[in-house]
Amino acid sequence: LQNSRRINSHDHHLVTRRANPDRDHLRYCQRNRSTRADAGAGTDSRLVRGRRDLPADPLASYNRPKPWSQSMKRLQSIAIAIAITCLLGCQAIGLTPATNLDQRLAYSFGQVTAVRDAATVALQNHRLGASEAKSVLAVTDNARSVLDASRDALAVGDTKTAEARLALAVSLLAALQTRLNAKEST
Amino acid sequence: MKLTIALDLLLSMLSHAGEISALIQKAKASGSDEISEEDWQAITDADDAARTKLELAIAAAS
Repeated sequence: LQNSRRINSHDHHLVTRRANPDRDHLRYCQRNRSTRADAGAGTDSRLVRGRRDLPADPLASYNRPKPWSQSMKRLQSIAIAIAITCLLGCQAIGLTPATNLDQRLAYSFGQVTAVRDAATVALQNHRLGASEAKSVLAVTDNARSVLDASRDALAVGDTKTAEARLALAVSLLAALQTRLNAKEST
Repeated sequence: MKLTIALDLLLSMLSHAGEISALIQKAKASGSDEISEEDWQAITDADDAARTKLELAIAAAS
């Protein structure tokens, strides 16, 4: 009998607690609001201590400098992905796909020219600032000199160096294009 | 007005890719996989001209 009473009282407790879900929710919200306010004011040392447990920068591991070889591998994989996309894209829109390094270099030179032309038009139409345009000019100059170096390496038969320099130029241009595209889409 | 730079870029890319594609086709038609020195000169001259235009536009804007 005692056991059944205990069970009944426990059930009653549960029922009464569950009978007021709105009240529980309200209490939860009030508690949360007060902790947020305290944390904002910096008065509750417990919360400040609690916040210290969180990582200061969630992207810290991502932003940490990576070994050179790892960066180069990532750069190469990005360049290969871009090259494959370009090849498939060329076929889809009726362009002649590049079949050797010389032709891929030519397409990259065209890419540099295209970025410069687009930046000129954007600057003349006041969609790009002068400082941004200067930055575009600097990056495209870098890409052009890397492409020239790649062409020189290809001329003396150093295909490996030529490939690496082309990959570097392609990644420079891809980063610049991403930056320009993000400028107005945000 | 959004995405206008992206569109400019895309159109410019397509235009220049078309020119390079024509040069590659020309090389292939002449029985070679390599672009001729003359055509390379045209490619680099076009880039130099684009650079000069951008420089002038920057000078005019600033």
